[in-house]
Amino acid sequence: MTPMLEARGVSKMFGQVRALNEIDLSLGGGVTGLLGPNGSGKSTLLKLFAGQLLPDTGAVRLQGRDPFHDPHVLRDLGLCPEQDKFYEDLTGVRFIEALTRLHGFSARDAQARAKEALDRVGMAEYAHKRLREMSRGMRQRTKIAQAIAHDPPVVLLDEPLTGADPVARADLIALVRALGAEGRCVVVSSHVLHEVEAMTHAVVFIRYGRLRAHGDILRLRARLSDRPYRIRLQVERGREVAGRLLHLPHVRRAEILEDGAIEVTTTDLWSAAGDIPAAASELGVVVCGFSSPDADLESLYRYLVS
Amino acid sequence: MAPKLPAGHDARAAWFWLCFHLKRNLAKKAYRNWALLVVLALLVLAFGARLRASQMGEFVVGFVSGLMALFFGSATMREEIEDQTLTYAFSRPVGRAWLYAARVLASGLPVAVLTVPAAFLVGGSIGPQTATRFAIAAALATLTYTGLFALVGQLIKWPAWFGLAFLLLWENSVYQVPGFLGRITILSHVYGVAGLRPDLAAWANTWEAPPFVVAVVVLLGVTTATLWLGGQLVRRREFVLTR
Repeated sequence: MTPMLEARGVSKMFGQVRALNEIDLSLGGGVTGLLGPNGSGKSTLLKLFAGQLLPDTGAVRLQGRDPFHDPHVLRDLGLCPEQDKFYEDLTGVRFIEALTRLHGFSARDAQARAKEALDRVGMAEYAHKRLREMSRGMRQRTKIAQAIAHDPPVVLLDEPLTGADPVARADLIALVRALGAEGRCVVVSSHVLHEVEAMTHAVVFIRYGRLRAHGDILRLRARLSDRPYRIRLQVERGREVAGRLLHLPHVRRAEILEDGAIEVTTTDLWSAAGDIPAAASELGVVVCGFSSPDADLESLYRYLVS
Repeated sequence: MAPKLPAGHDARAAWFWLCFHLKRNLAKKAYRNWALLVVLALLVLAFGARLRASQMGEFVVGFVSGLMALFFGSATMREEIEDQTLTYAFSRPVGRAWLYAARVLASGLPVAVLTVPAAFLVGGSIGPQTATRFAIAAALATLTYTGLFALVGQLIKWPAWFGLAFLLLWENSVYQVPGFLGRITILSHVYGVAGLRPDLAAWANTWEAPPFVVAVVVLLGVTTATLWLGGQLVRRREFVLTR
């Protein structure tokens, strides 16, 4: 089956700067977080997928077609660009309606779709407000609405949550998840890791223009076998439990912390998740808290970036 | 999901884009200021300087059309790049060359809305045939200069300076040269369409405007060529919008 988005050996230079270096990537339905430090090449990759840029080497495919030379394939694409720029004199609904007309919809259909998209991003009551009078968060939501108004199977969102207030962020995260659940290929570029984590567990890491990792957060973390996990346990009789845990083959270290909790260092999170409660149960101890500061996206990001 | 694109989609989308930007351009403050300036200039020249109708015709079709086309035409793509709005149109399923042509025409038509009636009114004081020829000349001059300056606007960084030099130095001097050299200016063909024979220096006494039909064909040809070239440039070029 043809991937919805594909990059094969893609490199891109801007003058002397290599923005992307031999990227190979295939994406299908669902939400994917595109992560990396500033200047890592995230936006360049999105622009290549959107047909705004041409790769120096390699090939980019959107639904199996070249988006730069074959603009008609862009009917399947919704792009929310990074920049906070609009035709400022227009109202939100008129802006989206105009762009939707370029997809071949009639005036009536385009208007209906524009209103529906604005409703979906929670902007229905501000549909007739001029863009220049909108707050940053409202403009951001309008920008997302123009990307989904024509119902595209592929949606690229470059920093979509910038400027949104906490309530709007939660709504937009739910919207992105819903778009992914509908089977669309949604790519979200963001710096805010916990927000990406709330949207998806599938991530792509880019650094210095190179693809560093691609896949599920936990599976990627599990592959970093040289970086053991720390697990924090809240139990009674901590010393006794720690002694028992040290007998487990994957546990390297068990340390009693000042607050009485135990910090266990293990090389195998999956085994630890089963073995630790079992060991506690054998001792008749109840585990009140079980968390791992090393199994989330932030720790994975930290490891990959460092 | 997004529907299949119907046949002729590019042309229909471009027509919509033209109308959309035409409406926006007509409502712009800069355009209203230009309109006011042109009307005032015409009133001053007609009633203050008491120019003859043919001289007024030269002013409208030979100068105002070119100058306004320079101002509005050269900014066609630059405006979208500087405003960083280009991405919105260029991420849609429409050929970029079509969108470019629509934008250029949407920049030129507001100029024609001013110059064509002005030329018609000026020519009307001579006769109905002259009024018609002046109006056609103004329309073609606007179209040709807009296409040309939109292309120049893509090729060089400071198109306004180039355009001013082109209009004031090249066009207004070289068109007077009898023979081939004069004929390679746009202005000589604009005068050919308008049927104008400007007051020339003594050395240019043998100057003749090109025949009407030839002049119309040349101007339409230049317009088509510049629009096509500009479209090809836009189609092949990457537009990197800086943050």
